Amino acid sequence: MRKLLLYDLFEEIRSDKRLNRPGLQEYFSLLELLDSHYQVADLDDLLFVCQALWLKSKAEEKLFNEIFEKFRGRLGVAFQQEKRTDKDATTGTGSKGHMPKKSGPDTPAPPPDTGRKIENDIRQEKEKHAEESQLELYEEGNVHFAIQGIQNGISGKIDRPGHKKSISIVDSPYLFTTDYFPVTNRQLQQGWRKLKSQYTGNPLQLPDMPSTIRKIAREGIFTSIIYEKEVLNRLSLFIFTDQGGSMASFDEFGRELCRSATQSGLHGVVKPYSFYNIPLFDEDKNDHILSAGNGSYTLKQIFGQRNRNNIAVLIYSDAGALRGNYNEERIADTTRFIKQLQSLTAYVTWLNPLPAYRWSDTSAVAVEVPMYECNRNGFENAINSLKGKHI
Amino acid sequence: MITKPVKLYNGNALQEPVRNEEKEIELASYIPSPGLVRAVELAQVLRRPLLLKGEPGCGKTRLAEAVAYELHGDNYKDFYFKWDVKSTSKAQDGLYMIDHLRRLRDASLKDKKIDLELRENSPYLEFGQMGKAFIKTRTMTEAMSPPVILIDEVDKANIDFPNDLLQELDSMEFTIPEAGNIRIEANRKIRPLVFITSNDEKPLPAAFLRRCLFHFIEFPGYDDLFRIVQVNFPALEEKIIKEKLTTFQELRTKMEEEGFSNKTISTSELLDWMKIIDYYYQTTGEISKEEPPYYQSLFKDIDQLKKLLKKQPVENLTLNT
Repeated sequence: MRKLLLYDLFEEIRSDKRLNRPGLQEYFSLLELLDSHYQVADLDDLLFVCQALWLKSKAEEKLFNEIFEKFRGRLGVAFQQEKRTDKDATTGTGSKGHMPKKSGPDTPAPPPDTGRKIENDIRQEKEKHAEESQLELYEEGNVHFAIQGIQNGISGKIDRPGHKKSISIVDSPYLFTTDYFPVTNRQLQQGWRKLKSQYTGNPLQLPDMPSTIRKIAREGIFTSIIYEKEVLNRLSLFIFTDQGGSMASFDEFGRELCRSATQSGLHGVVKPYSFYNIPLFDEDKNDHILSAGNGSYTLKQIFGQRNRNNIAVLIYSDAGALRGNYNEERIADTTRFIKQLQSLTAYVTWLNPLPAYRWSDTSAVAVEVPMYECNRNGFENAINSLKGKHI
Repeated sequence: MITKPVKLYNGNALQEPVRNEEKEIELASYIPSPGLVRAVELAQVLRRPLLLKGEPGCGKTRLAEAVAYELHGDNYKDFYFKWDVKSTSKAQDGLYMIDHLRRLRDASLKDKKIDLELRENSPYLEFGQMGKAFIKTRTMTEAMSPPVILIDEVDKANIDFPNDLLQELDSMEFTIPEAGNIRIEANRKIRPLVFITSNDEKPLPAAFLRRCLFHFIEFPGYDDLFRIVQVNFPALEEKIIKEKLTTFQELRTKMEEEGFSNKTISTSELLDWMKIIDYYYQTTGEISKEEPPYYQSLFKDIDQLKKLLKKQPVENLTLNT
């Protein structure tokens, strides 16, 4: 019983991309724990144990609990049954937990007659579940529509027929080449690596043994110690992507930028913050608002307490160049955004997916910071400018 | 196969502060929440490291010491290994350190009596906290509780640091290549209990998180706070404690609303504040009339001062020392 139900729960948690994904080892640990002397008294206890094993951050807790709640009903029923069967199996020592007191210290498995009952339970559960899910499918298969003002109560929502999940074109099985993007993954990685290697320089107090020994070998006597150079990547990289209508076709590359930056492992997890055409300006807080995941953050919140000199921001947007309009308002907004960014950060660079000849006479002229095209050359220049050395 | 731990932590050993002059033990009281006790129990049963997160000042670091005291009693210092991680820390520092310079100098002395060979007990080889804990387990028996290792503020170091510790956390052993690949391993039956704290400043790598159990230490509720203050300051009257606690909670809520999310006042600020109040109350018999009194110990920021003291009528703010 509980093994299969818990596996369903485990699968559900794994399938949610917003959560940390536990591995099979964690699942087995849970089963091991339940099989051992440890007493799980009720479902809240079980939730606690699952949280300790599978949850890795406070921010994910709410989502985790929601998923657990979905299973609560089924788990509750199964739990009660298990308790009852175990109580029958024991010789009435009245334990409040569901682990039977065994005669030997090392017998592991639960008594066999519960096995059959458990299988029946599983079958019943699965049938019920199948019924429910069939109903859902039925609803989604049809298209309902809402007509305002109709009295007989037909309402619903316009559902897309079927339930298609969009997959990124890069993961599409129809793409046979890895060169889809203007800058390949390898070139991106090289770029990020260059961004890291800038901060060597301050010698620490730690002796660099291999270099010292080489020096001794060269000179024949021990004169002085060579100290290690500090290689610290203090740079915090932020990527702000435009998710406006005009950026729909360039969205993939934006995500690839963030993904490759995270993969390089040099900047922590680079969370992409997004905005629509131009970030919203909040008058009261005197700050721009960007969104990420399911939350929105002001610039000050995003940058937090970081030292201003260590923040580099890469903006990926067309700045209005695609539509080709020269929009005074948009120019003013862009300028204000850039001004605030420059006051809060050290390096701001703009990556524009459109080629350079498309930028003139459009709103993109508002961009006062170095702006580069999205090809290999442009990307490398952008990295240089993020280090402060722009041409 | 999960074996039952020798002794489960239940949080009761430090309900009152402990002072033992001859063994030089001075421990303030530590009252963990039931959730935290359960998490430590789980860590003991499953024998995995426990990752603790929470606000600064909520008691993450002190938990390990409290657990060590409860499991080992007055001799806990022999079984408690604390590793303060710095931004320059490397994973190897916690395992072993070799004094190459000394060895190099001794080599050039041409004194035949000095043993330059790197062995486990060589003077050039010094073990870090984790290494010491592993070695300690060799002399322990299964009937004893395991030693406690605390890796404090693991997110201060750079991102490679937790990744370098994965193998050691899993198998509780490491090798020393410089010494001819000798292996230092913990007694397999006594896995040390590892506590890891993080301030959540940097994200931790997934492979590291996978191996740890996780618990977030919440800020205590009113009743728990009351008990904590009472235990620490038994001479203070209940009425005063209640009054000041309410003020404290109001201030905290206001701070959260105003968005000082990473600078709110926490348990340690409360205890400091209560200490001052207790001191003045015991010595002079009265508390300053400011609202809140002795606010200097609560507010750490000019922004907080301005926003939260803004509504004071001028005469309540005194300029006394």
